[in-house]
Amino acid sequence: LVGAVPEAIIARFRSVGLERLEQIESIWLTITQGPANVEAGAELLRLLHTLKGDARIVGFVDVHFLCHKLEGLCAYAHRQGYRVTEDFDLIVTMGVRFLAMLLRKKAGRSLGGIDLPGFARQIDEALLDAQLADHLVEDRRGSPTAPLPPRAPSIDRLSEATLHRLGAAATSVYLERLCSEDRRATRLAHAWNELSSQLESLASVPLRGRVGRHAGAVTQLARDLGREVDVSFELGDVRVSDETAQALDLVVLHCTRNAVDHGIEEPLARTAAGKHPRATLRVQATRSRDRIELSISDDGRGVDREAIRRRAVDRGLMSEARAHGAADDELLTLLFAPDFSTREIVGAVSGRGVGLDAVKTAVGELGGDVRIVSERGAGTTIVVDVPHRGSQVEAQVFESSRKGILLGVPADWTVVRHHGPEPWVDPLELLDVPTAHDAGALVLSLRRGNEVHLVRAGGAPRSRTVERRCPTDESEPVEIVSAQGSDVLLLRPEVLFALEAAAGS
Amino acid sequence: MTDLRIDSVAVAELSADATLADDAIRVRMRGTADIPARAALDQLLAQLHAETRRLAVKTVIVDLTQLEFMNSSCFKSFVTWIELVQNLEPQDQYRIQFLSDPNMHWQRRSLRALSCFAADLITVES
Repeated sequence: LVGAVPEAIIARFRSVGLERLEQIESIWLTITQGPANVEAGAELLRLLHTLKGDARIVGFVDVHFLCHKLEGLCAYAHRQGYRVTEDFDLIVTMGVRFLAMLLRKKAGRSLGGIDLPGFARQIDEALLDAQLADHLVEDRRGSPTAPLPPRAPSIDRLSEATLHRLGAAATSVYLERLCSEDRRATRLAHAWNELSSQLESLASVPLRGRVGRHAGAVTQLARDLGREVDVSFELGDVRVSDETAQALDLVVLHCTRNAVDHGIEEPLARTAAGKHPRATLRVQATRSRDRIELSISDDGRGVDREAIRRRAVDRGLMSEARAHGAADDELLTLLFAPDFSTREIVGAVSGRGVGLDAVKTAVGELGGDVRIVSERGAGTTIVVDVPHRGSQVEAQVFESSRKGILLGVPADWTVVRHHGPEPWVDPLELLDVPTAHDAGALVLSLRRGNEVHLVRAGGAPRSRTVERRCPTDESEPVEIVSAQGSDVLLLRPEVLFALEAAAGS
Repeated sequence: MTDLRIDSVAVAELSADATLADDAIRVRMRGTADIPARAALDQLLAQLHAETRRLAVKTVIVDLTQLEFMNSSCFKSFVTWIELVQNLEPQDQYRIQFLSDPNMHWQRRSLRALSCFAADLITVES
């Protein structure tokens, strides 16, 4: 198959080819599930074409053949703005995996079980189906240039508004349970538990499940490139939205591969520089109340500022005088500029340019920020900071008039005990939940600005951090949250009492 | 009866369980295999591979007749599994038999394409 091509070239072809395929897969995922991105699509086609050309040179005719077939599929998708059917998506994804399998196939192993012509037929049929469907759409619309409608979002990419509506429906089930007894209450409790856990999983995904998959690939890449690297992923139990997970997946893919391929030196070079021959590459994620921070650190050669200065001057981005006097931050920021990251500059700047513009774009779309901290000879850290729609909020929590039911209000309400004779209202009654007749010796004043409500309660308020399990829209009067394992009916007094006033008028 | 160490799956809209009978492990999947189920599916297939090897079982039957849909992400899990089987020494390899519902359009092309990864190991039956 590979003739007289030296084994080292073959090995290099395999590892670079697998790297390209991972990039192709990542780009495909991004552009078929996100907004149209012409540049990314063009990059995908370029990567595929390069792999095809390399395969021809080293004599991998099967890889060359399949690349050619996939090029046809991807060129079609490109023309359609990457709005493709699930079937089409599936055959492209499997095609990329098929290529990876061909590249990984061990020398001397039989290829007998691999049915490449059969797979190629599936590609041809998928392309034909798509083109036929296209004609049908054109016929119906009478417009040959009209794009296909966007693919319907899959169940894991529900909009926030839909999640809130589902949350409101689940809350109704919860309140109904409080009005029920015996077996009916048990059935409703089960329904609530199922609904809330499903909503929880829809609202967020574990980051470890998404980006953790790169650990093995990066370790393998390091091995292929002759680097000795301890790779660690410390992601804890950080959960993020699906949208954030996709962006951080892209960040980790680009940054870890750049670090291994270009940032980390070969063992001999490290030893010569007085370092341990074994490098470290660490990916860490932490979550605060409203931010997610992801960092990718290596102890490689660090970024070469002089190379950035030369590149900036060559490209006309800075005069020589300005480049000479540029501050460190200003120089490092240039690495995020589009087109600054070309393969030509990779060797000179430890490869930090490759993909960083894509990283910045992905992070920017989330309203986040990315920065580089690098010390020449000591290593580089890329820090990504993105907003996190907090699942935790502060609240004032208190016993309701009915034992076992906790109420709460957001922390921007002041809650104090009230001793006056003024009339009060039981919030449970406003929610149509039966109350207890013999409890509620306590009246609390809820105050925010000029708005004051007196409510019956079963105990004094306490400040608590509560977890939003089943978020509802701010126009809803109540949301079920969790405080130290107990359910709490988090009231929105401004809505609850306004609804009551409207009903009474 | 030999103890089969494969955890049942009930995550998102996917459920799956495995049984051992007549020298074959049978895995039945139901519902929808979408992105939220990917990690659980990976674990299921890893356990399935380990158990098939431990028990020296020669056939694995994957019953998809009640699986409404599987997205490309979950198909990747199957590709990874199939590659694991392919990379075993020939005497250690086992056969994989997919049971499909021909009325589900998505199964036809996807399973035919999947079988091309290892035509000597995979069969698709309706």
